[in-house]
Amino acid sequence: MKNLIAAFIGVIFISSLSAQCNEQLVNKCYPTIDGYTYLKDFKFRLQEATEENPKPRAKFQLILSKDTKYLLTACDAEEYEGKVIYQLFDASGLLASSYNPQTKKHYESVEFVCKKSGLYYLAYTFEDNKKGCAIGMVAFQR
Amino acid sequence: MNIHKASNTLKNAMRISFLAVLFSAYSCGDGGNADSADNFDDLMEEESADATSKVSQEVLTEIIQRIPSPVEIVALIKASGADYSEGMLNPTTNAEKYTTNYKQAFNLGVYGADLGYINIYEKTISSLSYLNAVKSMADLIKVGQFFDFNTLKRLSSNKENMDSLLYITTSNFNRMDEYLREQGRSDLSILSVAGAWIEGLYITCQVAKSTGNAELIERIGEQKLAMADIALLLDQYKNDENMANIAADFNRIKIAFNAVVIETTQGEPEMKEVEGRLIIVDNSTSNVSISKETLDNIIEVVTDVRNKCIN
Repeated sequence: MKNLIAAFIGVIFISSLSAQCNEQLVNKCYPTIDGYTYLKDFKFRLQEATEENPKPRAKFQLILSKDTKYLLTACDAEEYEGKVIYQLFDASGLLASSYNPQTKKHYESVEFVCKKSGLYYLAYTFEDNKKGCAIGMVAFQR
Repeated sequence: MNIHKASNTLKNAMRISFLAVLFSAYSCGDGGNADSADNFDDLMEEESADATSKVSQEVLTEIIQRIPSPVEIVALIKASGADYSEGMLNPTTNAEKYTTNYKQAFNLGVYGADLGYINIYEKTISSLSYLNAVKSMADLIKVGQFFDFNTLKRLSSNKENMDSLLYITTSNFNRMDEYLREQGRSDLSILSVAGAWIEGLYITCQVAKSTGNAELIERIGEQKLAMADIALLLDQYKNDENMANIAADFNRIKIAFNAVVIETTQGEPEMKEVEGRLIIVDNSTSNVSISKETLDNIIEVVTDVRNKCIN
């Protein structure tokens, strides 16, 4: 039995090493939520910025519950240069960003300790508005 | 937890950056297209436009995506110390009763939520029969390809694999929903989501009724938010008799939630970095006011509608 499981995880792991902009990206991202329970993922592809659309972004909504820790992670498809940036908002404004523009630091993940049940927004862009494809993953822990 | 207060440099940097982008968005003067991921006003404007226009496929998708997974509330039930009770679940013997696509899609969601409950409690033996029920419903509405039964069966045979099983089944459900919408079968996707949601709520109601757990009762009250979404989704298909009947039943639940009051208080988030991870503690809070009479009514109506839909 253990061999079967090891083989199954091995297949996921090996395929994750060459994850492209397809379903394999979800498997590639799964280990990033280690210790948390998977909830949702959002797959998106964005074109490079144009004059008409200077800051392409993908946006999603989610209802989060109080007294719950949420983990936000994201994984880029290898064939694009674009490095994904994700931000969490509520109706009052920006709550968290995976990127600090001042230090140019990308965080590996963002943990959001939620104390207010309600509607939240996730926005995804790529650094320097490059073309890209990524998976955003949301997990939780009680 | 050692959380730095609002003076945290990172937080300030983020706020400043946020304001800077907002400012640049207003000052660029490029014909109003200075959109930005940071631009909260733009984001809200888009959401507002979405909410007020006729519900498009894109908006339907957004609403379906934001409905909370029953896994979350089931995890809370387990954390509350409640014992596992398979008697609450929809018996798998009911599966053969579901002869229409509507019933099959709805109960696919119901069995999916039941499977989540079973997996959270790590009940490997029951897991297999509920996996069978899920697979059977999925095959009937031609989405069985999203459930690799052999892999799931292997994982379900060992308690140590329950996290992986939960991940694979939940993500399979998400993929299946996407596929149904892409195939122009959003009605079935909505029914599956509605089935999963009401089953999660039903289980929570049963546990809250027997334990009186305050956190579970509050969580039931919070379902008012998702209930409004599901009612809106079902309402899109009111010209379809089968969907209209389900919508009317769910509308009874929506009415039962009318007396629930959810209040929120805004607070400043705090943040810190731990080993490459940014941790944000939101100090905004919410509070649910729900009287015993309202709760009893919700439990009664949810039980009635859920039992009607699974029989």
